[in-house]
Amino acid sequence: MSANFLSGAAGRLLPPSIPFRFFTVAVIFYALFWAALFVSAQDVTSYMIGGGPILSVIHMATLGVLSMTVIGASLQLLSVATRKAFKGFWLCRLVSWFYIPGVFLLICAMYTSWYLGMLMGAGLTGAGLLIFCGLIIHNIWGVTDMTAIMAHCWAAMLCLVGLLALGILLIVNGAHGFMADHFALAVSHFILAVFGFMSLLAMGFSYILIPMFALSPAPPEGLGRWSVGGNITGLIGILIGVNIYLDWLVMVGIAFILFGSGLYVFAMARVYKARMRKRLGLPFILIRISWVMLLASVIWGGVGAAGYWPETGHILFAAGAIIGWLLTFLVGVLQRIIPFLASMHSSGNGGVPMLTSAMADERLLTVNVIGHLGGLFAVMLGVMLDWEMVIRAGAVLGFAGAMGLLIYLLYIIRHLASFRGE
Amino acid sequence: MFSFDRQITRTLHEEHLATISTLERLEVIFRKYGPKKAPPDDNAEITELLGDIINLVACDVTNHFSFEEEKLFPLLGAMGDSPISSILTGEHRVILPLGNLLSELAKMARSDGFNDASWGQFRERGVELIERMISHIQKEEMALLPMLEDILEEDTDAQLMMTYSEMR
Repeated sequence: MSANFLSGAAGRLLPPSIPFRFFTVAVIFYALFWAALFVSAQDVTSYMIGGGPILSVIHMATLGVLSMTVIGASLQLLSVATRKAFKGFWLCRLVSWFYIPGVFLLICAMYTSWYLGMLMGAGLTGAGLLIFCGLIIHNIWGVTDMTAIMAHCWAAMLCLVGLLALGILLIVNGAHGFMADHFALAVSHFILAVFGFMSLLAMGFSYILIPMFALSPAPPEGLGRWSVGGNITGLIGILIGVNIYLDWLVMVGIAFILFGSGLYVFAMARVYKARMRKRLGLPFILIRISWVMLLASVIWGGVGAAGYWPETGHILFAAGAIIGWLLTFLVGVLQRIIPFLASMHSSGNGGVPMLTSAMADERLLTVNVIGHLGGLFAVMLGVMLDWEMVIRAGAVLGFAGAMGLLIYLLYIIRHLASFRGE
Repeated sequence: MFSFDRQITRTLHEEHLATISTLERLEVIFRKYGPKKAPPDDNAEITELLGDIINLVACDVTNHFSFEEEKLFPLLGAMGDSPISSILTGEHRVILPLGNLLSELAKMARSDGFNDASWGQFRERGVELIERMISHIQKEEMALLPMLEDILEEDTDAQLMMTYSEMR
């Protein structure tokens, strides 16, 4: 799947300002997320549903960091993988002009429970996401090879449309209350966002990125196809089960997601085991931990569906899936993709390719890994023990880690800008 | 591991494996000994590694690069895919002098040992070579070799293999 990925890369790289604007905003939100978590730590374990600081914190992670990173990475990777360059870069920029201010507005409005702001923010965010969706669909339309990756992209785009519709419905229903079961809507929105849109894109692009970074052969295409099949079936089962109150169907759906995620992790473990480069460095510590957290989150979801969650079980589930799986995975990917893209852009200029180690101090990435993992561990522990101070301590560690990555990224951008200016 | 059907891609891949293995050993030594103080002269592991680096640069780098530039990149150019060739050639221009310098430093260290200054220089250049070479191999493994697998016929493969054997 990843074979020949790089061969057309030089001709199909987006201008660096496009992916890097999404990555920069994502890393800023990554720091803001931990800061906001620190401020709102006392409300974390008691949160169930509705507007306010915790809803805002959740969306800082999902829309601000995860989707932002996924958009930047998808726009760059897909055009290279499908060997179809995006025709108009202005459309890629247009996504950012709608999406970035939209997310800022939405998150601020959620924090203050400002209904009109939430609607306007959701409108802008949704417009940005729909343009992104259109760009992706236009790019993958008619692509017949890489069926597993394409299936992940198609399924993720369907989930995106669904979660957008549900998100806006949730905002309107929060103010007017015309839907009978707000909670079922919120759960459907969460599942579509976390295990649909973001997980499917993360998994799909793993089949390209992980072999490339690990210098390893791609896993068999069949594994990817069975995995995405399991995940899609599971998502459908859970959504129907949650909305027509069939617990057994939710359990079956979770079992399918476990099957799909298990196959994905199995495929990635094969890639990792067959790697040529034995020392893969810090990013792969994060990536490997995220795979464990993916499986743990799904299993924990099953425990909850069976009715065995403790009082804070739902928060533990959300933290495991959002911070443990997606955030940890995407931060690991960012740690590799930022220097990789910087290197590709400096190679394509005809001069001496820049050394990424010379662009920024790599110890900053160590700070990021220690801070992130410390933050993850402490937040999970704090939620389990329902202990605010431990959550706050985790937020401080996470914030320090995020600042490490932000400073690293800013150094890379500065060097890249000066290199391209020469 | 990667499965390549052509002899020439298999050979280049095996050379990549050997190169990565040597560079990872070098990386271990660099982790063990910092930039300021030279390691002791009687370290058998380092002496062996210095010999391997000299061999690596002479065979797996110099010959490998010349063969690619003289025989493989023109093939890709004829197929209309030259961007990757120009990226790889650009990297060769940086890696080869770096490798030669490291090889010279290794030869001097084998005869006279390292002092703090020569060790510092060797280490600095070595770290740079590791980073550049790994990134270069990444591009060759993910782009060059799969493309060759796609375009090479059996007889061209045999011919290239023979030419490469003579060059080595």
